[in-house]
Amino acid sequence: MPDAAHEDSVQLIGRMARGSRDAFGRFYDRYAALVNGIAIRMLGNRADAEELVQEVFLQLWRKSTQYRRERGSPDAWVVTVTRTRGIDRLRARRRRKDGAAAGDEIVAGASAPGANGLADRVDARLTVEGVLGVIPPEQRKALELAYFGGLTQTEIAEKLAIPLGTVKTRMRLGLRRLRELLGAAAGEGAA
Amino acid sequence: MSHAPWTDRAEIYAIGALDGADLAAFESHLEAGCRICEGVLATTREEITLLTVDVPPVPPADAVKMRLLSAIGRPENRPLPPPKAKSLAKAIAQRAAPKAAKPDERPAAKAPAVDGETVPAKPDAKPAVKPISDEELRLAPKAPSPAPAPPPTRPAAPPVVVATPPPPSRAGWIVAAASILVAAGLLVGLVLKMGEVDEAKAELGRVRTALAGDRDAAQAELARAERDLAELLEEGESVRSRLTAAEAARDDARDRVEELEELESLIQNPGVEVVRLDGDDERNPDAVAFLFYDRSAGRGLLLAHGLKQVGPAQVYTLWAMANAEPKPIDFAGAFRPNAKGTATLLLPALAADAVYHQFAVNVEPTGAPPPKPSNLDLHLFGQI
Repeated sequence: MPDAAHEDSVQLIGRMARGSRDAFGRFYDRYAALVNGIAIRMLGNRADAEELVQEVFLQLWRKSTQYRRERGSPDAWVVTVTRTRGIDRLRARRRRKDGAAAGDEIVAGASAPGANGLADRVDARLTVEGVLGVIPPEQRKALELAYFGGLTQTEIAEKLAIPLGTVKTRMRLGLRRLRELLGAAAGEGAA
Repeated sequence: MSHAPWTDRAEIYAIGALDGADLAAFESHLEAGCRICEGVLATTREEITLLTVDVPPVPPADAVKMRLLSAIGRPENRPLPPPKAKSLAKAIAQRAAPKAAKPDERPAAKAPAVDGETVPAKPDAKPAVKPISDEELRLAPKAPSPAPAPPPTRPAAPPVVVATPPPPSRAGWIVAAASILVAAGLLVGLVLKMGEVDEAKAELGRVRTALAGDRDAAQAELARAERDLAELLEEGESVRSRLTAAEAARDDARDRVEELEELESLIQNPGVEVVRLDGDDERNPDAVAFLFYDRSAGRGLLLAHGLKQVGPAQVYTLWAMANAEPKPIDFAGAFRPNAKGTATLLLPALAADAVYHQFAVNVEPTGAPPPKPSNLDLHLFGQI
């Protein structure tokens, strides 16, 4: 069931779609640190990350009319747009330079408690220990290279020098573990 | 056939990692309208958001918000129209609403709303007016008219619902005469209302003309904006390509410096051996490579040029071999030539003091190197 913060975000998006700058300001305040954190993790430096933050929020503003709550939560919408724009930048950067080391910098981020609506939905213990910490390292690596590094399955196979089938299996198992975590968190939240 | 292969692909697609034939097949499948996969996509996108929980939140600089608030105020950054276009008739009715409601005021593009936001006209905005029919004009309660109408000739408040003659009755002449007078009054009222219909029609015509003018102006503005955008894009593309070229040149130069430094370091070592590898006359006739090999440290640097290009899923693979029995064949690195057919390979740590005498290059598929060469189609060969 959507929580109050989720509902509030949906309403802010609705007001943004009607041209409310005030709603945009509040939406920005709610998500900017998360978007910037993801951007830094993906791009590796603050200057590029802040450019990405601007690009992302401008797109969220312009496409606020196209948001449909039945297609996903505001959190997922914001994060998906951030990743998509971030991956565009990473791939452009890789086109300019052979990205042999691409992706290395993005897995080095320190784990810390998240401060977004999603974090509130998972068990506090998991958040403190790092949610990704409970996923086996090889699965986590494959997921992070795709998620934050923007690498495709073939690129991950080349980078890790493992067969493509192994990459697919690791990613699927990692996603399954995430699903279990979410299920457990939802169960505890309901209990 | 089981649907599981598709849902597996949907999960990897959601994380953005699907590529190649898998991607093409899945996108075709999705375009065919698979509701199951759409559901898997939506669910997986939610689930992978959990990956961001560990990301430390970092507030951007205040200037970012200021720049954004300024940017969203610009006309070109207005929120896009919703995906489904409104009907033309509805749009016209909305555009006409302010004029029809208050003809003596200029129509405002945006109406002020709570907390200072501006709200574009929307379908449910009161007092939006739908296209007015003659019948509605006849029966509608009277609104203040912009046209001058001398008050003395205007009926006070004609009962518009009494447009039928009074029913026959046995009333006396007085009553009949009164009825005739009332009917006459109504007739005058109706004639006057017909005048208002004409007036309203004329107003509607004016609104339509104004709308057509607005539309033409907007189309001209759109054409100008598209032209400006095309010019800017062209200019940006040129700058971007120069930047890309400059960065590529810098990276090449940096790589070259690193190679030369490594080479210098190897050459200065008195124990380094230089092995020349010649291209196979048929498979790679122009190729030649030099291997600077420091046997004692197990280090080496291969510089090759004149190489043919290999397929996207292939790499050149260097193998080190010894004369001793049983003859060991060890993987010594993989490389791909650049566009000019040159390649540099810093050998991974080979066994120190190993007695390698021969070096050969073949072509293998990308990915994990096989323990032994999968083929003996040599492209380069050399020996000490």
